[in-house]
Amino acid sequence: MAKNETIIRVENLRKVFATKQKKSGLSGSMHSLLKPKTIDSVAVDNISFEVNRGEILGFLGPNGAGKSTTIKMLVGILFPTSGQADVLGYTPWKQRQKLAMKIGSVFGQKPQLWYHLPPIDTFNLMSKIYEMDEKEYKKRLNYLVDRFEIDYLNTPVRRLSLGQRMRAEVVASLLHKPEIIFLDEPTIGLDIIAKQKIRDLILELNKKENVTVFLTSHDMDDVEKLCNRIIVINHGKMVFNNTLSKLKSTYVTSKNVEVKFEKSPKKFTFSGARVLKRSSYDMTIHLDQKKRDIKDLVDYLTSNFEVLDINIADPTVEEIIAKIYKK
Amino acid sequence: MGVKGFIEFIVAYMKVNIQAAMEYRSSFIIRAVGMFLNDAVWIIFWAIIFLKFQSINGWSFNEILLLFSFITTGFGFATFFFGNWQKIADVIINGKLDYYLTLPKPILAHLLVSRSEISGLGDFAFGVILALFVLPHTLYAVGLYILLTIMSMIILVSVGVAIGSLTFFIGGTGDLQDTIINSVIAISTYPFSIFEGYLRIILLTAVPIGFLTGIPVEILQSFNPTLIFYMVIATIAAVIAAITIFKIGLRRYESGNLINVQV
Amino acid sequence: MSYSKYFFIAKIEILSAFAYYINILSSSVFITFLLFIFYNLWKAVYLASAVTSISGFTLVGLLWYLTLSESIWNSGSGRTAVIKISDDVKSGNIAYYLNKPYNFVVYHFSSTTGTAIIRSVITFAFAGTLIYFLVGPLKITLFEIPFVLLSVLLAIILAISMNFLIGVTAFWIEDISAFRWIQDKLIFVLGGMLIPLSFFPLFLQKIALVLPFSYVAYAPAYMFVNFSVSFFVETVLIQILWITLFVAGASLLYNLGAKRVSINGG
Repeated sequence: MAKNETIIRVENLRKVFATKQKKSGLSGSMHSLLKPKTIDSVAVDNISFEVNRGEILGFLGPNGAGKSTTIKMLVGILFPTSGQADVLGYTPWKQRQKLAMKIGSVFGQKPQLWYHLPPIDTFNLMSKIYEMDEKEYKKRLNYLVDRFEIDYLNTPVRRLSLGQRMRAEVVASLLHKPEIIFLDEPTIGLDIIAKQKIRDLILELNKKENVTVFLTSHDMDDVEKLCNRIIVINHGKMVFNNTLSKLKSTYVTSKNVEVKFEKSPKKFTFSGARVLKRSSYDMTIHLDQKKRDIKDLVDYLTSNFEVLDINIADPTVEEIIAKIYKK
Repeated sequence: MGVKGFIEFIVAYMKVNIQAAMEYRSSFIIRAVGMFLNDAVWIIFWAIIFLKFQSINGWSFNEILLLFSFITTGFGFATFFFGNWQKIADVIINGKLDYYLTLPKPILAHLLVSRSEISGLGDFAFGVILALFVLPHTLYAVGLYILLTIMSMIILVSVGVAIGSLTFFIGGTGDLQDTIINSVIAISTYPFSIFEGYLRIILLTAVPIGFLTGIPVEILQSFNPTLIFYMVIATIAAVIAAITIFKIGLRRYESGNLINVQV
Repeated sequence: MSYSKYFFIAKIEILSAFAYYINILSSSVFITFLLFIFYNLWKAVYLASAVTSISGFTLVGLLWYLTLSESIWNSGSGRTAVIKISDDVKSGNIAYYLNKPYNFVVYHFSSTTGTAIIRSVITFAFAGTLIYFLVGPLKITLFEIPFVLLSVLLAIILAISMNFLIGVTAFWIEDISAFRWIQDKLIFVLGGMLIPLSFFPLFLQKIALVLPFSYVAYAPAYMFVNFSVSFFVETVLIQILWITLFVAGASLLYNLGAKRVSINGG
């Protein structure tokens, strides 16, 4: 397994849906019955990208941007209008079953666990679906159960909390040692601690087993804490494809600096920065990084005032993405 | 995936289905017994009719018992082992097909075995008991009965798959598909001898309903090898037709152009 | 107490019934199909018996009998309402209704009767068209029609009230589906839904006529085919009697159950 092996290769992938257009009213219904008019809507518009083994990719975009259409094509549920895709050496829509053995998925809204049964029963079923060797399965199960703290293996799923259920869902998708897992909104509805737990576990498995993770989430903390790469899709087109830090450095052109002073500052002059808020001992400064460096501002502050505390806040990934969406 | 793997897969699903049903033990028993009694009521109904009318176009009470034995055994077995056979329209309409598409098993088979309706056991038990009463106690008759039931069940499931697969093309709410399937079952609970001429031909060709109970009963009446041959042909044709319609529909689904279906 | 609100409720239910027209159409088509099967069945029987009338029924009469009885059956008899009632009781939602300014039972009654009537009419339209096409019209005078319609209406209300009684037992019984099933089957067989009671052996006929089920199907359908004023009067009186009994029973049980809910807090 070469470290920088490309395992997903997408080339000019394009998906056009023919949707029926219906005019309103009774005459419209008659019209559409006799002479149906279809309009082509482009869901995915010639996107190309590559994913290397071991990457944790954040696949972001507003609803209706073409995210799920793209994922469906990568998984083999949908075939494209044109273009190519290669996932682990397979063309997904042509070799779906073979590919299915090597990938796992967790869709936040569509559970895999049988509701009235304890997780162990679904796990056992999965081992049969993925044709796992009995010994291998037991070993793998013990490992995952231990790491994911599934101490409720024999409790019916309907009695579990959402956090417990999601952990078990992720375990179910990892049993067969997939090389890629597709996670769609895996932390939705969870409390902070539960979210953190799942993120840590995904990171750990990524490090240990080099599992490639394809994540879609509207939770920017997920993105922040997990992803090293980001692809942003909007209107079916790829508008960003690079690392998370590049995202920040490209789109982050300002910073908010919160300062706490020992003694109330008299005058503040620093070109390229303006004061957003101030009270006797606090100040929030907005710095335009295109004009001045953050280093210079910090130097200025510490040389001229008695500073107790400085907090430099990045705009959130959310704000950044929102900026990109607007384009 | 070999035969062994496939069987283990089906057994695994049966296990999970039974376990899920056992979670609600009393409901399980009530439903199975309920089905049994339900079938018994139909026999009572026909008994009343045959008290008054000795035969209907050559069919006596004996033939009706055979008919019900075929349909209940086949229906019960299908409903217990291939529980989704009647529900394909629902699965498509409720977007559950994607689940099967992401897993490494043949879609149709997986779809069919992933559900089990326990009440089917009640039907099955009823049919078997009826057969014990009504069949001549010869090895030949019993063996033929078993073969015919298997074929009849295969045709039934094929009809369910074919009608359910129409959802790929016409969408809708599932009501139409349910109505058609219920109509098919309804016809097969009436003595086939009442359908004559063109009607009989249609029921044996365009829609193979006659092979669900009509022909099997006639085979056991006459032991006619030609009829047995037709039965086998019909079974094979039904399976091929069902799988073909499903495959074409699935292709349509994967192209994403299901105009009428909100998935 | 204003009763106009119940008519309004019935009207709203009728409107929402149209929203479920596909479901109604599908079931009507199914019933029509059933009648086609019945046509083939009874044609064969009459042909083999080489008589024109069996137990007072001609083939034409028998098929129109079945058309009407199946149309009454397909009214749904408020089955969905019953399921909803038992669900409400089970879930505790019933508590909300206890505060509302209308009588729970009467409210559900007016709403389900409206839907049931619509369903029966549509079913009869479909099935009747087929039967008319197959065997021609029934010999019936215009004079008889309103009387038959009244009896049919009462039959539907009777079926609904029987279902209501079962629904209200949900206060005490975990799973009422068994009772519902039993009642359906009793109407099927002893109610003369599938075959007129006249075809039964005598002892069974006598038993069936004592029970309320035969007044859901057999009585109005028989009246349709063999009308007589005396039969009409007798039938309607007995229907009203049974309806009163079931409604009273349902209301009584409801009040008992409601008290239990408010005391125990659901």
